Amino acid sequence: MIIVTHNMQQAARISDKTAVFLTGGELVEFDDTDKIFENPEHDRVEDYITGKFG
Amino acid sequence: MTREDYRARLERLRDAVVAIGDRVHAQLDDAVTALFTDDSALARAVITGDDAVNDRSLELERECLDLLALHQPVAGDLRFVVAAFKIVTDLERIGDLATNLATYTLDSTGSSPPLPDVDFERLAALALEQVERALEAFVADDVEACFGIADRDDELDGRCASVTERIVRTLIERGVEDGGRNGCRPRNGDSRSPVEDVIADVSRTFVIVRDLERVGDHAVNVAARTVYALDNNEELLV
Repeated sequence: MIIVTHNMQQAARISDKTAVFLTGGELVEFDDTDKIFENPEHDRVEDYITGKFG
Repeated sequence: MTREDYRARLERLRDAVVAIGDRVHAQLDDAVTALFTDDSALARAVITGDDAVNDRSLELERECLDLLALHQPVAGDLRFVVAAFKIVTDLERIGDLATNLATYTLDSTGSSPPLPDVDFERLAALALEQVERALEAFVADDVEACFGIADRDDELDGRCASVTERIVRTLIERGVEDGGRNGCRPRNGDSRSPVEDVIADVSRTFVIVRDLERVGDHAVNVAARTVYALDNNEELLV
C-alpha cells in the first residue's frame, strides 16, 4: 500500500519505506523509514523533515 | 509555537547544556582545590552547590522530554535532543563525583597523602582538562576534538592504574621491610591504630583515583554523544 502525505509524523508512524519528493516532484531520497527520519543522506531531506522549509 | 520558536528552543537547550557543564566544571575545580588545600569551607560549598546542579539537570531533562513530546524532532534535531538528554546525565554525574571529592576532604585526617608520592594534582588537572575539552567540542561541533578526548582518556586511565599499582606495591614492600609494624605514620592525638590509619588513608587514596578516572569516562561520554548527534556515528559509544 502506498500513502501520499505531507504529514511527516504520519509517514514516520505508519510506513516501512519512505520516499521523499521535493520541489517539482523530484525523488530526492528513498529508504527505510527509520533511516529517513533518523539520518537522511541528503541535506534537503533533513531540512524538509525538520521543518527548516515547508 | 512556530518553527522559529522551536529552533530557538533547541538553541536555548544547547546553551543550557553548556551552562550546566561550566557549572559542573567549576564544582570539580573547587572540589580538587579543597582536596589539595584541605579547605573544609570550600568542600562544604561544593557539597551544597550540588543541589543546584541536580535541580538544573532535572529541568533540562524535562525540557528534552517536552521537545520530544511536543515537536517530534527528527534526524539531526532528534539526535541532538537525545544526545543533550544523555550529556546532561553525564554532567550531573561529574557533579556527583565532585561532591565525592569534597566529602573526602571533610573525611581527611589532616595528614598529607599517604604512602607513595602520588601526583594527584596531575591526575586532577587531566580530568578537569578532559571535561573542559568535551564542553568545547560540544559547543564547536568538533568531531575531531571528540576523538582526541577519547584518545586522551587512555592516558588518564593509564596514570590511574599506575598509581593504584604503586600504592599496592609500596604497601607490600613496607610490610616486608618492617614486618608490618610501621606501615604508616602514627598520628598525634588520634586514637586509631597505625593499621587503621593506613586503611583509611589508602582507601581514601583509591577512591580519589577512581573518581578522577570516572570523571574522565564521563567526559568521553559527552564527546561520544556529541559525535553521535553530529554524524550519527556510534563509534565512541561502545
